[in-house]
Amino acid sequence: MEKLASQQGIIFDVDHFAVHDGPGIRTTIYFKGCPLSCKWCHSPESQSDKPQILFASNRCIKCGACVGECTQCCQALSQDGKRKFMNEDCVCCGDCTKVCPSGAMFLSGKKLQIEDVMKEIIPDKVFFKNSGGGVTLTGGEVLMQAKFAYGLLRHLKEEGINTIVETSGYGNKEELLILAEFVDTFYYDFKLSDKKQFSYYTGGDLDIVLSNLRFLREKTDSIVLRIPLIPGITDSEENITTIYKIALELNITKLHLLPYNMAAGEKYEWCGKKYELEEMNSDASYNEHLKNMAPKELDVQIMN
Amino acid sequence: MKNVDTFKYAQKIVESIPQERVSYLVDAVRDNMMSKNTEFGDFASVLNQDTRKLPVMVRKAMAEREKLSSVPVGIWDRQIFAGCFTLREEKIVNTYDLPEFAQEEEIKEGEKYGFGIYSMFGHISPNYPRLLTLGIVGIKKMALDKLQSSQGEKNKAFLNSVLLSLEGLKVFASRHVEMLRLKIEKEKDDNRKAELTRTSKALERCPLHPATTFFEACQSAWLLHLALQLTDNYLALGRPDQYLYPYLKSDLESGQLTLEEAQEITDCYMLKFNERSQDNEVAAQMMDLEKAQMNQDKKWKERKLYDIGQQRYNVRDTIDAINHWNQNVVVGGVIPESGEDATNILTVMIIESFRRIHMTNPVLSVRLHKNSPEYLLKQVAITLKTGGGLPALYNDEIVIKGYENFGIDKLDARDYANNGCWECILPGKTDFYFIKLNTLKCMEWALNHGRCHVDGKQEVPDQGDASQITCFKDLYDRVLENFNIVMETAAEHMVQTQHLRSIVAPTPLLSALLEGPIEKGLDMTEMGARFILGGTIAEGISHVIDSLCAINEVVFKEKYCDLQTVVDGIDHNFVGYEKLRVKLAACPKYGANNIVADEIGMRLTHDYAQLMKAIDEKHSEMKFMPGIGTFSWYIAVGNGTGASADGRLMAEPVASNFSPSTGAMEKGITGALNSFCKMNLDVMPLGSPLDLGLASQYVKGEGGTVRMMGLMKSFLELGGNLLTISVVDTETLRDSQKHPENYKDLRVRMGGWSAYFTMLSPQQQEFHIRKSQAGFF
Repeated sequence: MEKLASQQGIIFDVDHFAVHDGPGIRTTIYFKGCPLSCKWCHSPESQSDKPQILFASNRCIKCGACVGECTQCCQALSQDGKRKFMNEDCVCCGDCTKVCPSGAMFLSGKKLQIEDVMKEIIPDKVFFKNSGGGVTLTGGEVLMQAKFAYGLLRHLKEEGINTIVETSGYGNKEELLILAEFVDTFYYDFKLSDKKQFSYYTGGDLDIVLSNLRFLREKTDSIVLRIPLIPGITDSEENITTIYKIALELNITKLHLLPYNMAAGEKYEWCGKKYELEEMNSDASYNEHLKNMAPKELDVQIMN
Repeated sequence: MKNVDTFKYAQKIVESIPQERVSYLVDAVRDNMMSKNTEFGDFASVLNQDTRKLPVMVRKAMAEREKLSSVPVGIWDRQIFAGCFTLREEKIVNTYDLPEFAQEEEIKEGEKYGFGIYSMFGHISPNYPRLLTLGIVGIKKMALDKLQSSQGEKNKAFLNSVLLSLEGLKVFASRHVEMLRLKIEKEKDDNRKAELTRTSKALERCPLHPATTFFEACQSAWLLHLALQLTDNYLALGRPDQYLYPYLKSDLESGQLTLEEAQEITDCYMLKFNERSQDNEVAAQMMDLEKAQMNQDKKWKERKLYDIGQQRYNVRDTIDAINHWNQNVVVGGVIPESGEDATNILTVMIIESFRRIHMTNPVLSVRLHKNSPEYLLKQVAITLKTGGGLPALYNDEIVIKGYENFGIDKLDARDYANNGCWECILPGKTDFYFIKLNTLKCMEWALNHGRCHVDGKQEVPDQGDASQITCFKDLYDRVLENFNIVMETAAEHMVQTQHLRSIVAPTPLLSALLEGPIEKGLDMTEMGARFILGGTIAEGISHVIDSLCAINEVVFKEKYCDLQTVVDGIDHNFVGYEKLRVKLAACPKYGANNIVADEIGMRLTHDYAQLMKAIDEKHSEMKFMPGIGTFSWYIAVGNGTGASADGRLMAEPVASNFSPSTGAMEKGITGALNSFCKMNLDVMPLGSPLDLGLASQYVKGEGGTVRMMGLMKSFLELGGNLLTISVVDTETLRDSQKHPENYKDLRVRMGGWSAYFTMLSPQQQEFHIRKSQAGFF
């Protein structure tokens, strides 16, 4: 793998004071590209593994600056003020984002070298040290760029930085296991325990997730299972109980329940996608109930 | 003898709730804010045939004595400390008028130099230890001894005026004793009777004699604070956890006080500083707004280089500052003699008072250093999470180094405290004045023939057409030259006029309580204080760094357009230059740990400090030091400046203090701190705070406390000097606009103090909401 370590990856965001991705002050690196397409996905812009232009129509002031700048004629502003962005023709040159005065057009995804990412991270080291924090790699799906992740994680460990990788487990087994050498903690997403439902809601095969989890568990103790609580989909008592059982069976004692918050709707529009789910609200007392259902061997936390 | 375990106490109190009395008094203070008070201000003139022959110094002391002999005295129901800004039952507020003491010629003479009878600048901290350890009796003796050895008429007049003003303080105390005697006679409740008797006994002894107990020390310090504020000196409290601690320690060890009683006394003491607070609307009703605005506008039109009126503010902004009277408290830090950590149980108790009473006064700051105990950091983190940006954080290592870099001894530097909003001074021995340096105007002048963009006024000499600027250095040198013009003018002005305050505004009472005046036989306004500190506080500097960087990138490096085009864009407030504005705004900015912008910032802050050093060396009369900040005037500063090359539009508010401009924090909180700490903060002894804000989700729960502590420790390690961290949620701010009744204690940081959000002007509210939207700022 060393030889295969990739120097370049595609990253769609870096968060310098992340709070939902582990203890202490953390810098979170968001990998672009995901093999799954969960219907509740919070960052639909993370699914494509290429840079893309996002268009937030609500911010558009219809000045037409982008129309003049675009060489591919993706941008249109008609006489009557109707504004259109034809994503399919876009080559992602980013010229329109540079002239947009209202921040309605912006680029998601940047090709970065390991050293570029390390440059973002190193100045935060002092904050990690003083708060028990570190770096979290998430996505998208980190395993989609396992070689890049491998190279990056190795550098992080050389710097003595605590590492967390959040993954759906949906990737190549060997690559996942090699990463484990440089990962202090895995946040392993476990969304649905029913094969059919998993396939319907995420577009993936549950067997891969399960089998990778078993192999990973053999290799490392520090796995936290993370269950997104999507109302009416993943938060059924049945689903949660099954996941608790799997956790017990694998002797994974730490679980995070992640309450859903409706905030991604407009991001779908930015990517030219449609959000299929209805608006839902997470019920705090019900979530508490799900937590209390856990066998006493498990340490379950609700991550508000 | 009991042992006091500060660590154990700090662990215990984080969940504690105030005593019932304290809760009652908190409500009483809030309630009082909402009511219109009657002003008391009818004083007998001290001018008569005989007194007219006396020096103004002596007449001023008489005026101080007269005022302290006639202002209403009182104590609120259930209060334990006597002496009030506002009498609750009668709804009387003590106003700041002084009895007439100055003669017409003196007033006219003072006006020539811009001084009036109220030209006491405040912004310093009296020597509380002197009052507590010597008492009026001891200070009088100092003055009498000096009087015996003094020959000069001037010295004699001053020392006599010290004696007179101390007499006033003594009378003030005895009037309270008399007031309490009447109350005790009428009081039916035995417990209350005993309480009032304790207060009365304390005032019989203090401040006349040295304090012997914690309660006496607090009551004595309070009476002095009240007396000084009533005679128009807006002063800070220095380091009360240091000078009050010996009394508390002895009371706790002897068993005279329990920890609970001590905490209650501390709570009640801290609460006292809030009783003058007023709702902004109530304050507005009591003002002639139109007239006040006309005065403001006139001040702006007649502005001079050394004049604070550089800023163009509307009167609503002034009202937003209504509850701030420079009442600062600093706790923690080091012991000057040994340099060891100075945290004690009173440090913990004072911070705890803030956490649970949710008030805005006094403005609390805490001095931290690498040996500050973990429990102190934790307590501060927990307190910060309650919002309002209190306490402000000071890094001893850097501030002390800053003082030493400007030639102050370690022993004095280690005892620093703050005043006004956050400016660092040496408490109990400093006379202080500063002038605001609007750096954004220095940039504006460089590109606009020395003229103001807002009203076209020629403010500094024309440096020539902008087209003559052919490289970055040309531009930078022009800006720095303008810095120097204002700084030199300011310093000259201070040196030439500071001693002239004595024409109409001598301060005998305050001078009695400062190190220097009695020893030299000169009033503070006659340059009697041990340290006479002056300086400039640079406003809007983040925007200057960004503007210099934007021009360098767009004009000189990329050659996207020429400088004249940028100047035209600024002239037109970017109307018709939208594309250029986007281009300029997209350049690297200070606050994102970007070396391109930060290098310009480092150069500018370094050169600014060097200019100040040169000025300091030139003038032996005063000590000059630099600082950076806007206080709460970020709206006013922006209002008086045109558009800037960083894409900021005309009259838009500037970033507060030394914070990055809105939207500049591309690398989040950590990036902002990293940029900030590179900015030569060890040569900014007056201070240069970074104001950060966080949504509450970032610091929620135990994990959040650890994060907050991590931020604080990193601030210390990276070498920041002053930091404020506000915890604010946009939704909370919005909801409070709809339901103000539910958010009586919601506070936001105002660049120099905390204010109740629901009382702010709509303009200020929008400013805070807009800033908070990013979740971190």
